[in-house]
Amino acid sequence: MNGAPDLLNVEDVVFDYVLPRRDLFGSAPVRRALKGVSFRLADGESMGLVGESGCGKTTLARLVMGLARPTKGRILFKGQDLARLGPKALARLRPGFQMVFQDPYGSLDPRRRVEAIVAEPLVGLGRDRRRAREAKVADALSAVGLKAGDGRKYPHEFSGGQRQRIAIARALVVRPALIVADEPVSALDVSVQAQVLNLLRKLRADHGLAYLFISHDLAVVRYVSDRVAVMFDGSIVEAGPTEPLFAAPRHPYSRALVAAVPGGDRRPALAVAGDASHPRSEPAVPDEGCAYAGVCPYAADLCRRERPRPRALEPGRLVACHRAEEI
Amino acid sequence: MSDAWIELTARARGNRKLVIGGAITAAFLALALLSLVWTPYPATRMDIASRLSGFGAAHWLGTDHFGRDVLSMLIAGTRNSVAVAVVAVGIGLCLGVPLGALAAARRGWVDELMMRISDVTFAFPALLSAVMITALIGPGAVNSMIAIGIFNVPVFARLTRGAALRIWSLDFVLAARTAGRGGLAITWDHVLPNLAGLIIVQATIQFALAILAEAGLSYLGFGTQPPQPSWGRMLSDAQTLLFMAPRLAVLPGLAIAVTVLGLNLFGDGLRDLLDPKLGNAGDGP
Amino acid sequence: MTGVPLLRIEGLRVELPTADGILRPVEVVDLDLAAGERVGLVGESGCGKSMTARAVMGLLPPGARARGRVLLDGRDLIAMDEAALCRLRGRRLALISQEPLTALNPVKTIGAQVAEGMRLHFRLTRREAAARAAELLDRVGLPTSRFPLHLYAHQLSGGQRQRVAIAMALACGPDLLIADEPTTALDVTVQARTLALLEELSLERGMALLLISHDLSLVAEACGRIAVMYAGRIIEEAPSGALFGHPAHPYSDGLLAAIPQLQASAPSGGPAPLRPIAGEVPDLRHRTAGCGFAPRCRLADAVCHGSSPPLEARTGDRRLACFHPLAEAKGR
Repeated sequence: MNGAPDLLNVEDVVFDYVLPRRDLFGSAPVRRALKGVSFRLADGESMGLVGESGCGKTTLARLVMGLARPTKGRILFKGQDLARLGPKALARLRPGFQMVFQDPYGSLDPRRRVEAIVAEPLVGLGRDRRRAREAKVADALSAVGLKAGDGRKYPHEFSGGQRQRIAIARALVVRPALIVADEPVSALDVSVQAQVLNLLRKLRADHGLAYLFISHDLAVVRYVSDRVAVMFDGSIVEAGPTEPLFAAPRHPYSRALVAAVPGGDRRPALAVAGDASHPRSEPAVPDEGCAYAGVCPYAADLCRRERPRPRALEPGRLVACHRAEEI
Repeated sequence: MSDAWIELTARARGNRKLVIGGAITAAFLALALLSLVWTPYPATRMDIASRLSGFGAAHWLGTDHFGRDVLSMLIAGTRNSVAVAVVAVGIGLCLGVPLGALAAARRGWVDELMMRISDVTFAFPALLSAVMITALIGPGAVNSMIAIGIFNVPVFARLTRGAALRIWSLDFVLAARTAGRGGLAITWDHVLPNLAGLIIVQATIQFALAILAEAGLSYLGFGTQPPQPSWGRMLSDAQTLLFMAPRLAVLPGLAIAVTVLGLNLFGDGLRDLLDPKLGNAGDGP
Repeated sequence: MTGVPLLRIEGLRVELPTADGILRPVEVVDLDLAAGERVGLVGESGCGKSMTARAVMGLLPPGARARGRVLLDGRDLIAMDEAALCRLRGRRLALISQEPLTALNPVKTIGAQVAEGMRLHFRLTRREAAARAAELLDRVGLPTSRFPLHLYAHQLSGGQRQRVAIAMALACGPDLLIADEPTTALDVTVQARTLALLEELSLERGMALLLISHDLSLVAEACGRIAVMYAGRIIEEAPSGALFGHPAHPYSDGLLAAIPQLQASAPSGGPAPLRPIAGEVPDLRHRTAGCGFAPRCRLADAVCHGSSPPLEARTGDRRLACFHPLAEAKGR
């Protein structure tokens, strides 16, 4: 290992959801939500994770937060394997990584005052006394642009954008090194979204935070992240620095995504057969072949037989496609 | 917070079920308290000379076959009903809610075990089993409380578990977990406060059911024993006199019916009032 | 625009009596739609766009009342009774909404649901209706060879369900289709295809489309004209290109500057900085007499706070409700 360990290290993570049984005997069927995902995040780096529904990005977020254990593979935070830590050790590590959720209305307990909500991670840590906690809460609230007096109010007295700021304050209060943000602005109006995005950028500059920013909105990810990974059906199909990747995506799916954003050339998005190909089939699609082959306009026999591994087309740019050079 | 209260009280005033049910329930409780210090006549005093007298100045609702003042017996009976209902529902709450919360927090075999035990309890018809229990351990007010209480436990356990499971899946609980808080802390700080409304409403319903159950047990002779006054026993005593003095059966029956109605209305009204807020954590603005 | 418009909304107001007094989710809306035209209605939460759609369809929530006139081919929909409206719904105007999950009945087959309207309005036999349903589903990209009529909603994905909803809406050949946030709940690539489908259908059948969305860029692609709503009023209406290129209303301008762009870049490379609009969308309960946008507008003055600017026609086929429009637009 060269130099300091990475902040976050995801190694070949596989995650299976257990489904209801079909027969009395035999094992229960599983749906493989993550099929061997790997990436690294260094201190202060901001990485975006984009993909559509079912690609596994939310599942990955939960695993990174230690809210569930990977079926295979490891997740290392500051070099420690999260799955191997006992509850106490995990709790001690928790202040290092915090999460901001999508729903500004569901992520705050409606029965508690804002100051209690923002203080919760500190309470969980159990280290500070009341005074110190109050001071930290006031700091966090002002860092997100709210007033100290707002702490006495209840969530329902605030708008969506303000509630999301409260959620950010809660994540910030323990001075984490990493914030995992799962669609943090998707539920907000455009004018408010811009406020929160600017806030996130500023906080990162001020506090040296690392972000794992999950969103389906490519433009939003572009605004916040240095690097981006595109996910499809449980795997990362392309990863690299944000600007070059969005300017010239190499994987057919990344191209379709970029093309689908209104304002550009739509044809690549429309070329993909996509969701109207067949009804939602039962899970446990076989692992052979590229997951995208079913709808890819460039699919060849090789693609259907063998699953492509991510490889470096240029330094820093990984693509999981057999035909990446040709297309 | 104060204008949330103002809104709540305004809606409460406008809700007819709540107001009427609340008035009846309040009257019922007031009578119970009153009976501790005063009744028109001592409820157990027998005045054979004026037995079976009808409505009149001396005895407003008349007397029974032993010369006991009916009004006093009714009033004293409220105290009895309240006591049994409070303890029985209390048992249900104190045992049922924690069990349900535990099942929802732990899942796995703890949950399964708890659910199966409560299934088994539900399988027995409540009233008949209460009769059986009091027949076994002996009749009396205290034993009625226990018997009825036992059947309240699975009701609250199920309710709590179901609602708690829903709350556990919400984002703010997830946030609490990422804050490093454990199951007990989350249950206490997040789950229970969000369930409070639901449990209160159920408690009023169970209260009404407990009153009915107590009356039933006393009617059968397994509940409150003489000389303690009880509506149920007034009913059974009045059976043989039904043609001579129907009011002896009608009056306690009416008392039971009105009280239960009042409690149910109150519970319904409470649910209307609290429902938009309770258990809906996570819905939109 | 030639002759009488297909849809004319005149002075539409929607009132909602609540415990806090009478609220007006829609303060005043005037809008015309020609036959076969595609118009976008854009705005953020609380601007009244969905309420407008429901008022046109006569499907307001209980307690709400619509005032003003909504003329469909000259007949006032607001003045009509429910029976007459039922005869029109599905047949002349149709609505698809945001949540495909709840738009479909989970216990009926997709074939039955598509056929339902046809059997009602045209009195077709079951077989005839099934045949036409199959044609329609085929047209929306769900061929019966892979999507037999006996499928249920839960067997389809969100995008597929929305297509079924579109087929249902088209079944009786309406002249006007109102699509209320039809793609918001769908994935990006599916969004693109769904919108392309709506455009094609509108062109093919000469069907007018009123596309309602919070996403300005989305609407600009599919529609020739866009009306921007804020706090219950239309504050600007212009051809899409013109609106995007040089918005005249400070809100439209602010909105465009606040949207993160995938393509455009700052001179130094990297994304252009986002300029948020200060403040928040006003609460329905706290509307003032002045311009709804004044509290957040950097150009606002006493006049703006005093009264609400009327929606007036300007050059370049544009309408604007503003006392201080942006300079760039004036010359065009």
